[in-house]
Amino acid sequence: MKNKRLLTWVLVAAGIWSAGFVYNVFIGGYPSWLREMYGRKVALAAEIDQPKIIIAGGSGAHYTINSEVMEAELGVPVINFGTNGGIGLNVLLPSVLDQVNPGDTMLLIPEYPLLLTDDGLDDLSASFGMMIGRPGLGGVPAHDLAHNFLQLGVPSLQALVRTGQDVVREGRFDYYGDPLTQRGDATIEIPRQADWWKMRIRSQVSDYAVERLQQFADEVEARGGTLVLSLPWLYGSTEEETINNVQATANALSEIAVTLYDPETLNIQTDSDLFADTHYHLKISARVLRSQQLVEELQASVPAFQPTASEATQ
Amino acid sequence: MNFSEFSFWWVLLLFCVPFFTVRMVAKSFNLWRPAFDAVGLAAMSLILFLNASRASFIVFGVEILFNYFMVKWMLTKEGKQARLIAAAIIIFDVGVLAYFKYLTFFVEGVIGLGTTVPENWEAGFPLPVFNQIPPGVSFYTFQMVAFVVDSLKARRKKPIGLLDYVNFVSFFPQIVAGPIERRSALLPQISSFRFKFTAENWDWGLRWLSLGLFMKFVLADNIAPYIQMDQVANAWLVWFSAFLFTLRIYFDFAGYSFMALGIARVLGVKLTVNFLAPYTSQSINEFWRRWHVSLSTWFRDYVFLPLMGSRKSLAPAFLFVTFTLSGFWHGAAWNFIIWGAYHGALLLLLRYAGRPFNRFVGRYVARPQIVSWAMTFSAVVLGCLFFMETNSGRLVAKIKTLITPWAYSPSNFGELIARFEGGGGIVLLLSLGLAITFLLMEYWAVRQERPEYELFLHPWVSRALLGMTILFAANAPSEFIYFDF
Repeated sequence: MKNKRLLTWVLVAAGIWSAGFVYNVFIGGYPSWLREMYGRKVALAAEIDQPKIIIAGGSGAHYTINSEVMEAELGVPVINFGTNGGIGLNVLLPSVLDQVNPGDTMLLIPEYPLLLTDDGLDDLSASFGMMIGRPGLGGVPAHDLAHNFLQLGVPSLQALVRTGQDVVREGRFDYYGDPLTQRGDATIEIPRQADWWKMRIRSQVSDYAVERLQQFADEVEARGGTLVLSLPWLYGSTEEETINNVQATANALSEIAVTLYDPETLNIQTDSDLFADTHYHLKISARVLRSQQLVEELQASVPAFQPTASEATQ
Repeated sequence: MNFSEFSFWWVLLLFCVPFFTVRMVAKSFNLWRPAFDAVGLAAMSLILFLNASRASFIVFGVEILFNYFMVKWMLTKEGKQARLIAAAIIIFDVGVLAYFKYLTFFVEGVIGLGTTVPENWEAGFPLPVFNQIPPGVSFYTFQMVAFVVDSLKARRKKPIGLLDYVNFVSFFPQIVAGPIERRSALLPQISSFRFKFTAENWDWGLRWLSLGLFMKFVLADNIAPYIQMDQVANAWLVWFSAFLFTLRIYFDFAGYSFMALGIARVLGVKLTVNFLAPYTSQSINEFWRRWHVSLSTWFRDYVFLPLMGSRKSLAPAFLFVTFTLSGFWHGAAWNFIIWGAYHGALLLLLRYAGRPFNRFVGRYVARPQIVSWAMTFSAVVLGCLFFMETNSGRLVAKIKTLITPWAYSPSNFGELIARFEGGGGIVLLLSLGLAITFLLMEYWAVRQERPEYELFLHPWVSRALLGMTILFAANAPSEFIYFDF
């Protein structure tokens, strides 16, 4: 009898945690949105059966590109594989590596937190690996893995309220629902609520990130692809410290692969009007500008994209 | 130990799995000696403490050894000699506490009042100066001091083993934030300790743990983000933040205490119930019988009664001093001293004006207990304003706002409402709904003269609380407030 009573504790905890897990991973939580978005992008990439450009990075790639503009200019299919910088460099890189086929160009646009990391891991590293069916991806320690696994079954009052509002207002579960284009681009623009301030970059790319990116370059090459790097557009400070650190980062990345950036501005933007909700996310109109810049830089720096003589004269 | 940090549970798991596997195997071969349980508990407590804070662990280790050997020596002496040794131990313990907790305040907050203290005075100070208090030092110091006094007063001066003393002082569920346990309550349960993992202990342990988890993670942590410390000009906001803080601090600290109670119960140890539905109190006197019980009784037994001695006519003055000291125990800042003195003053007011006031109210109000409750709760909320605000300048500004009539303007009220619109407002409303339902259930139990938390400890209610904790726990747990003390 007493043991049965203890069993009810286990059943209650396991049952409700499982319901929370289903909510978080499959119905309405932020993790479910990330998992779905990744899965959708994998499927979209699989539909392309010719050499392509894969744009990888965090949300600083997802919310900054207009793939159709790039595709029209370059004549090569472009797929936006940006996900979320919070998954960390160690998880981001292997999660996109599988998409590289011979002849592909992997254009990686990492936000600065991905470059300044000392261990390649971040808040979402453990849970993202679990959600895409690769627990432990990126060398996540057992402690973090267990912690994040446990948290995947805890939705939180805040998230449940948000879902409730979605159901009442829009008749759907996915608050974060962000329809993607056929090329994986974001279609929404989230307005900023807080005041703007210019972000400072207080250190240059870490030795760890350089080493990891070098390894990634080799891995991409081994799959028959080419790695190209780009500094992200950032609403940032133009003070000496930031400029020096970004310049040093650009120099270090250039040692690994072709690195695209505007040498005048180092991709540091001073007009907050270009940006949506964060210092990296661009408004829809600015995504076109950013894509045009990338096209020009790719054409100038990567031989495969240099226009032929006839294209150049047109 | 911070029960809201995953690393606590992780280290506990990493210790328990191999330890209890070895214990089970050894038992089956009849190789396990009962004393190994006591060693296991000590190792568990010390490893968890080490994981929580290495620096604090060293301080704690030195204090344990000093106290143990000094008490052992004290027990071999009689009369004045024993009292002198006891005094030396207490001075040492309180000295350590003062050094880590009050040094900076004494130099900057007290000496700094009369003279200019250089900004880098720490550099010239002969001892290292710490900006953070080692976790638990306030709690285990009081437990050690109480042990010294109780051992001195004990009729049978039976020596205590080192292992039992280590387990008594370092018992991991309560070492960092209480309950502050007495020799007579905890030592008999800890001496020659044996793990008692019975189904009943597990069941009751999980009931208390579920209650504590719900209070901390669902109530306290969902309310915490809405407390706006920086708002000084809007009286409505100042009151509302103080009200939210009043709810938060209770659910935070009582939640922690009940988690400690639950974990200890699983191990077969019954700790003091540290809170007894304090917000149902109808007087400040009653409030202090229900709030942080182990600290209140500690101050009563080891400060107030010894201070007063036979001078009963001076009891009011000593009561005031005791409460001011109790406020100072909470933190090395003026606001805590003011908070303690404020409560001491309220008790004196109640002592002298309570009865006439009650007679007056009773003449005009059908249910005067509602007035008493409302006045008590409002006084506690105002007290929380002193407690929550460590910035003296801001505290003064807030008090000025509260006594400024036009700070209560309709537009300020509109600003309060506007701040909590949208999804965040719904979360706050639901959290407050849960919190008020919780307090009403406590009130029902108190009114029925039942144990305060009986309803929450009902088998199915406690399971429902666990379920609600899993669903509604805040994503980002806030720090336990009392860890800073």
